[in-house]
Amino acid sequence: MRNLIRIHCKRYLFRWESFAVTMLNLLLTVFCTLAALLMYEPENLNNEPFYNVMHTVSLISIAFTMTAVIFTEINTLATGAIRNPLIAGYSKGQVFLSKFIAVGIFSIVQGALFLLPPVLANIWIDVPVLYTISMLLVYVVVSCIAMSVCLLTDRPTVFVVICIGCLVGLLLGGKALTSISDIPQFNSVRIEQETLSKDENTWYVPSPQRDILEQCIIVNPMQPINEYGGWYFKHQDTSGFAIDSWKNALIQSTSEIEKEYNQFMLKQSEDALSHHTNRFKILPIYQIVFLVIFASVSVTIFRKRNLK
Amino acid sequence: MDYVLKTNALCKSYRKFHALNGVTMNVPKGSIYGFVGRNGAGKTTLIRLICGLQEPSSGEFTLYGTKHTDSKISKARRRMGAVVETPAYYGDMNAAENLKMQYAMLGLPTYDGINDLLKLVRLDDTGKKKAKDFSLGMKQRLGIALALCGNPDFLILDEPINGLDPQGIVEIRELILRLNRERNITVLISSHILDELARLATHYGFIDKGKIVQEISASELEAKCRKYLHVKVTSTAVFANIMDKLGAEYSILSDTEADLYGEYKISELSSALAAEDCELLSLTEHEESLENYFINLVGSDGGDVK
Repeated sequence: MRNLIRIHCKRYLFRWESFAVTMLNLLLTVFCTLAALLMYEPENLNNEPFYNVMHTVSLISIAFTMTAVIFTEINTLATGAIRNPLIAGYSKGQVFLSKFIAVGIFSIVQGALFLLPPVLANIWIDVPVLYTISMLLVYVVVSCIAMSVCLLTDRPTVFVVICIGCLVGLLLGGKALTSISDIPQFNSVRIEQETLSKDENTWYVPSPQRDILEQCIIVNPMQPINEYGGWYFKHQDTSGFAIDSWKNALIQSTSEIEKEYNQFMLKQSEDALSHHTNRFKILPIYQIVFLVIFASVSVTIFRKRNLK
Repeated sequence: MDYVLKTNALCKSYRKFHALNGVTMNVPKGSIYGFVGRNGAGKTTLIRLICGLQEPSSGEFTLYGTKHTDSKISKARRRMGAVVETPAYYGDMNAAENLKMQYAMLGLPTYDGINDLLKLVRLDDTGKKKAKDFSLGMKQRLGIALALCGNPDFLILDEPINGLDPQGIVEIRELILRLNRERNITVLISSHILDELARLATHYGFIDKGKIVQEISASELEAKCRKYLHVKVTSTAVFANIMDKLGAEYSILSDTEADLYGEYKISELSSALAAEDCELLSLTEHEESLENYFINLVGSDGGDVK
């Protein structure tokens, strides 16, 4: 099996398509570093344009990596080279898993080329490790799905298109669900006649539906991209600023109701921020679980597949 | 007799279509086993099962005495090389690189022997030319070289001469004979080009509609192949009447030509025809070809055996 992994890695890492994608990813990372230098301002509380750029560029990088995987697989299938390891005595399970691992390694290399320089430049503030892991796993998920689709179907081109559609669907669906979960519980909170007056948001999703919504969000293997392009990164500076402000206000509170108000607002700001930080902690675990389940199902199907 | 491959009531179905319908065959060690059948008879399906590309629906086969369900079948397959339908290679690599990949896949410690293999299949002068740019014959020879990596003692070749030019056919034929004679490699070769197969095979297996119709050695086949007379007459209708009266076996080819099986005295035949105003124009003696033998065996409905 080690021999197989080695030759599949060689196939993925030493092809001109792979070389081209590596160069493009390096180009993107140079672009991102320049964007960080020119657009990102740590003092500015609104770095949304910078995060939007980074979000789009990361999607492009993932698409490049997936394209290299699809090209390599379709090329291998076209010349029937997939048969060689089977005739040489390897089982279908070994062939599939070795490819899965090789694709995983290839996509991690490509992801690292794109992600590591900005991460090392310490742009991603307080969750660089978790962010990097979950984003690398997005590369792995997307590439492994593309590779599996090529191996498991007779019409890889058609199914690759469907697969891309599904991935885009996951991305957009996840984005919509994330937006829903970000709707705050209260539109406004005021002190009125020595009591707190709260206007509940009609669009706010209450428990237990909220738990289901949260589950739907975190099982989505593409979610780190949404998180990256979503509320957390765009608002973490403003939220951090808000938390500091409410903390100061709490210290300087002069009345009980003011203290209660400041405490409530501080909690709301902290909840909003920790909500996304907690997701980052759990997303990589869910992505790994997804990969394990996906690999198991794919191996089972591949073993039953009639190869030509 | 030692057998490299034995199949027992092997079946393979694709939904409602039965590609193999209880195939039982035996490939003797050291033989060149000609696997004969029309397109769609089930030759490639059987080869795919043996190579592990597909699983049988029922029945079993043993490779070097190892059952296909046994976990050691992978080890047995290591002693085998195969070219299934089309040669499997990496198009963006040259011949030597392709062989290096195969060596690495087999876990062979060194690349020694690659040059010998390239010489054996006469691809040693291809240099950096990529496999995708090879001619059909070169690709076929590269496929055989890949199958020969790791010194297998059983080689499966599925239609190895399809699409080759006459020189390519001769080259492949000579290569197969050399491998069999010099390296004592058992070869299972499927084809529907029977003339070519007849020059190679020491044993035959005839398959039709997913069933083995007959297994026979080349010497037995030779004994069974009947001689016949190819006759040209003025009217085969009259010829047929006379032959029916004589109880002879014949086949009409056209209005003036027919084949006549069995032994006959030419003078008697000539006078019998002359008595019915049918002139015997010419007469040549032939031996029944493998092609005819096969057609007689499986019938001639819609076949495309050449």
